[in-house]
Amino acid sequence: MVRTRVAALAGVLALAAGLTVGLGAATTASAAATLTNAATSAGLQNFAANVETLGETRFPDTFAGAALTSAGVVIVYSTNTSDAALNSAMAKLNTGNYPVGYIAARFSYSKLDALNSALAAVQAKLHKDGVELFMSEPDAATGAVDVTLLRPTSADFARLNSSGVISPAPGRLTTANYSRAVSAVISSIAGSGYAVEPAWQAQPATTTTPNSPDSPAGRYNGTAPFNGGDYIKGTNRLNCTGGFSVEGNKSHNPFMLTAGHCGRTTWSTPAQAMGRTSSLYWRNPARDDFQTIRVGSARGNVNGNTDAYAVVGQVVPARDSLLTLDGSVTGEVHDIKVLSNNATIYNIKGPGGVKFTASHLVTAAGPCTGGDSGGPMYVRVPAPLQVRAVGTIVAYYGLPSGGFACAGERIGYELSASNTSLILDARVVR
Amino acid sequence: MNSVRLELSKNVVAPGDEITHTIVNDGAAALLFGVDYGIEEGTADGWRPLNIAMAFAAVGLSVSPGQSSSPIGTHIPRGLRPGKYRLTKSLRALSSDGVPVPKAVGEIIIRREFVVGTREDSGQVTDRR
Repeated sequence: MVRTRVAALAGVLALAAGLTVGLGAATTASAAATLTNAATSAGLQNFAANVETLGETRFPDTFAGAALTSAGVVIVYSTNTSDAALNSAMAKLNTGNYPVGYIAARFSYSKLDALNSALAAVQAKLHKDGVELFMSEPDAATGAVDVTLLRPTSADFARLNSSGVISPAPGRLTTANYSRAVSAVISSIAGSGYAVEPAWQAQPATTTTPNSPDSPAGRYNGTAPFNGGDYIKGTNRLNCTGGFSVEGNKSHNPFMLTAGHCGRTTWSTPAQAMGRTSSLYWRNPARDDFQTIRVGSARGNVNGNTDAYAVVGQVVPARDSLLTLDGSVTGEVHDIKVLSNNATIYNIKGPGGVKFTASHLVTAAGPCTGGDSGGPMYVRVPAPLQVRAVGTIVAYYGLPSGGFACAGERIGYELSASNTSLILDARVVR
Repeated sequence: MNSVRLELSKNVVAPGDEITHTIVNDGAAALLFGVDYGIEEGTADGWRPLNIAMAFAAVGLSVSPGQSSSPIGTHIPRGLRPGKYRLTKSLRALSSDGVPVPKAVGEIIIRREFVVGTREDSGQVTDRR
């Protein structure tokens, strides 16, 4: 394999100071510049997603994660950059001859996922000790689970002081040393491998609400066989969005996905009754947030704003690659940058004042809003009017840098937990 | 006169308080909204939107004409300094058949001012920005 360093990629490579880096495809500076322009191409986005998906699936103990740089380079983080099987598998995926960089990682995907799950499992204990989590997400680049805290109150300080596991002397806690103290608490309870970030300040935002584009009326009049992306209403008076159409692996019955927090109820579109919640996966040990709705018939499509897309598969998007959000109120929004592909968000504010935690979330720096829950997140493929499923919308939050992010549970976890499969290729299941 | 208004359970609050907000719909159309809200800080240069570290489920709620919504839990962020603020809420009008009206004509933003005072509950930590 030819390994050539490219000047245009110096910024990327600088991130890897002290680490092993190589580019998997021969290229030149001018070619890299061209690639920069093509960094948003559907082919490249799909390749990056294929790398992430294959890495997690086949090499979870070596592969750590993938990221797509603004220069159009797919970075593969691996605990063993010389893993011939992994590198060969990645090369086979790379039919578009995209540039690939390999960077040595501290922990594998499996290890980072386990660390993230271990933290979520001790959330109640941490709360008791005065630590309020906001989000945690594996970071293959740093080799740690990044932990973001909520800003502490005086009550949190008091609980943390009395926990007996903090490193600053009791009584001397301040907002300045709080993160360090929390690091000590987390290490004592969950072990090492966490990078605790200071609580977000309440700081200027670009907007106070997502700047949602319009969504035309087509998705508002869904009829059987139902597509994903339909606006749906429950007899519990909650409004959500239909996710992907799925089929029971044993029963072969058709179901529609939506968010678990939308509640167990009877669903309809404005045009037609749909069916009842079959199974609810919410506030469970796996920290899911989805449900299956038993429908009379479903089609393997999702509604976009002006077109329906055939669902042709499922994928895990790479960090910093682009996806599409398609909630029924916000509508179809393309080219939204992926922030994380395996995050946990704590204390999500739900209907009825309920707070819950959701895991295995893809988070992306784009808008969603009330009524988008359950809506599809997907990656467009190079073929026209085809997409691959990523997940279903769960929640949104303001970013510290301004703007909003939207989070959705990964489709793979939903299908596995519910023992269902995606209905593909616009097929109708009755 | 605005036919939709926002009411708060308390108009003077402390950082970290849990209050509620309610939408009173005196208009002719049902309204769709989320459990979310925005907060703006009153400054010498006008209202400054704040970005609060809080995640909201993307569920949609609605309130019929002539009715009030159920009270919605509202967390006053822990980092707010004393001063004047306002809660903001984005709503979307629903058509007679329950379909969201396009944002360009159907979006309604409502606001309600409140004051953040000081909390003297610890004395151990003075939490200033």
